[in-house]
Amino acid sequence: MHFLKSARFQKAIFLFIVVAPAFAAYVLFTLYPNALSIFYSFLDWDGIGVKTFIGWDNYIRLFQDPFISRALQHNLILLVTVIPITLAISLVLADLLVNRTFGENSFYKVLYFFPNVLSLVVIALIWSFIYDGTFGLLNGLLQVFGLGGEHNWLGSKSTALLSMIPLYVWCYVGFYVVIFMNAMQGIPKSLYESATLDGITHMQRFTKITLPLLSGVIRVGTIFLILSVIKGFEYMLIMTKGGPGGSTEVISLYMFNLAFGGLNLGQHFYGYASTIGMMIFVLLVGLKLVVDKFFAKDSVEY
Amino acid sequence: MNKKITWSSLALILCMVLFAAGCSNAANTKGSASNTNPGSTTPATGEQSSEEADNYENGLPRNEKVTLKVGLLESGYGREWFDYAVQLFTEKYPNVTFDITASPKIGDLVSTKAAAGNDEDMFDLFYSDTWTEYVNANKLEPVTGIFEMSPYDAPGQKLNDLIVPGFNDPEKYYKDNAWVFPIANYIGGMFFDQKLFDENGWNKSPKTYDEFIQLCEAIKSKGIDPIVYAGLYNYAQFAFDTKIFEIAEENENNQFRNDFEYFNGPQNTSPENIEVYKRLYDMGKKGYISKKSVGMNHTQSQMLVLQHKAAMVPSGDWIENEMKESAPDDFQWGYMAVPFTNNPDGPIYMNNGLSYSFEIWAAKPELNKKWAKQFLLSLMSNEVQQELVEKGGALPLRKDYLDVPTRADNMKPLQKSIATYMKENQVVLELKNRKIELTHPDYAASLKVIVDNMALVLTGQEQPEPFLQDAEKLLQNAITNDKEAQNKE
Repeated sequence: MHFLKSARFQKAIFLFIVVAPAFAAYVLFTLYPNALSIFYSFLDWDGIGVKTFIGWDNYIRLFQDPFISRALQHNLILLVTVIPITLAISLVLADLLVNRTFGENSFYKVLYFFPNVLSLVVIALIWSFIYDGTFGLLNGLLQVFGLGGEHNWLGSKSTALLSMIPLYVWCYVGFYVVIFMNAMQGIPKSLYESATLDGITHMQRFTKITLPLLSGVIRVGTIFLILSVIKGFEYMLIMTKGGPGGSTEVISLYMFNLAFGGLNLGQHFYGYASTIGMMIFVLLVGLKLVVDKFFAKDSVEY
Repeated sequence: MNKKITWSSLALILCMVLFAAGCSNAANTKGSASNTNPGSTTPATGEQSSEEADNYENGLPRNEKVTLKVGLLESGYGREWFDYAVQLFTEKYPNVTFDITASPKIGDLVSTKAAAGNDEDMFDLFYSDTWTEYVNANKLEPVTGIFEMSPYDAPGQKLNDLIVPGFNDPEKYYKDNAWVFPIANYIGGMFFDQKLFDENGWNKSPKTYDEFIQLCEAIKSKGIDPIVYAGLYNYAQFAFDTKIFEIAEENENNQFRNDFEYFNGPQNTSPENIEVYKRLYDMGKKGYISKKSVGMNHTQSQMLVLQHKAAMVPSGDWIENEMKESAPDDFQWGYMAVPFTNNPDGPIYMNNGLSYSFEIWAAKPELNKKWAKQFLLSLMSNEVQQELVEKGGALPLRKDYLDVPTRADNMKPLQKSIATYMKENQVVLELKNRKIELTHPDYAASLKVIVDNMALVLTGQEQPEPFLQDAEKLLQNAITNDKEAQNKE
């Protein structure tokens, strides 16, 4: 029993006790379902009946399915709009709240963060009301300024997807303002002071000092936003069901509808939906690598 | 210190092992208990009495407690009628209790439970609209036998003979059995405020397509949207999806029904289907179908009719009950079907179908399934039917329901309006059933093309032909693949 007294053994036991529960939960609730999804992706299975192994058929179907390319285009539109707009607004607001001493700073922080504590359904209902074609707030506002105000924002193919962009930005900005504010507060004041002595403008201060020193946080923020935009579909599910004419159908919503029969089709396609899940996984890993390539990964020490 | 850590670590590991063993043991015990006495069936008394003495008139034992787990759909019919039915049943059979989970999305809960594969956790009785998948997977109990039984208020008469003809078949027959027990069959069509129509002198029962278009024009001239509908859920189908049969009859296409039922020839691009979509597109283009419909759910669209911002809304006969909390006191729902031919004597095909039903999960204890069948049979008593008709707004399924004059008098205005319409017009109740089932994914994809684009066509924003052709290509591919698969078998 001498080994029981050894520091090495005790350390191993301690680590086991600390790590095992979390690791077990990770295996049970993350790794195992994901491994099952790989298996399901090779099946013709409705989730209830007999599982039929069909090899690569589902993967071949991915490249022939016109709904996939359409949904990915919609994801791409959201990616190239929501992410830069969210990052830009969040950075500007964070800079204002950190470097300007408004009396209402703490109120603004709560205000910006507020959408993060609301439930998805509440947010969807608020924005449905804003965009409503009959009683909507946006149409009401446009009528006040004599700019029409008769448009059915979520019911028109040309505006339904674009209408989702402000919603996403509104939801995400508050969270990233808080993240960027904390990161900005970590930049030593002496850097700004010496730059000020050299005659730097406020804009230069932001672009030459703040942004480069925040690049690591912005990189992480970008990755999180990519994940959210690609995986998110809840607002479309509640507000538009992917319509009209499939104009707001994103890839995750299509996958969800195939798996859980949300298309009023009377059939479920768990196998094919799992294949789409695999494709989303590969896509996200690829986008993460792209982000890593474009952002400097050098850590900053002040 | 080291010693303390060692023994405390060992003690902790020992605790975890014992806890795990305890869980495992508990699970085993539970498993064995359910094997010997499956489900929720347990003896009510310590001693078993003789079966003959302790059985009800239906042959089921009095002394065994049974809990029926019910997945109840919260629909436009409400649940007062169901609670009443449960109360009646439990008064008569006190050994039976009910564990009810009610939700408007109960079908999603059922499919999740089904996918989980835990039969004990599954409902005994539930509503689901994707029941063919469950039948294919041998998960449902046939309910055919219930139609051979006699309700307690009609001894000696088979239920099958008591149901309104057409309401029992052929919709739910599949693979030589009935799997879905009907609770309510809906009538679909156009719903409107009779008072508004009377005030404006509008035609409440157009006999021809031209008369219907004139009605839309008259409504539009008053600055009111003639038709609004729930584009999010494709509610237009309740008014228009049977119109192909009307056009086929007008064209004297006697082969049409057979081609429809067996997927022979073009379906989406059949002359009849294209004609219907062209007319709908024209109606949208002329502003008869409100563009606001596209992003609306059923409640929003029906609210516009209550507020007289729109005149007509396609839906089912549950609408009166569904909107009773919001409807003004003087609002009086009326019904019409949309005629699609110009022959005033030609039949008008009305949309109808199963709007509420129950299925029984096969992998449940036999006694639970027997009680579930008895409960379903009890729902067909006129006592429960009356509650469903008067509180839920459903049409009665029993053909002897109206034999009692007071029951007819107590029907809601909308039910009377539907009955009057059916009496004054030559109508056909059309179920739109297919005789063969397609399972290839391209079939679902072809339906998706239709569902995705329907609202845009109906509001005059997109021409129908391109998407009908896309849907047809997918459909024909599905038909070919399924036929090849069947030949291989």
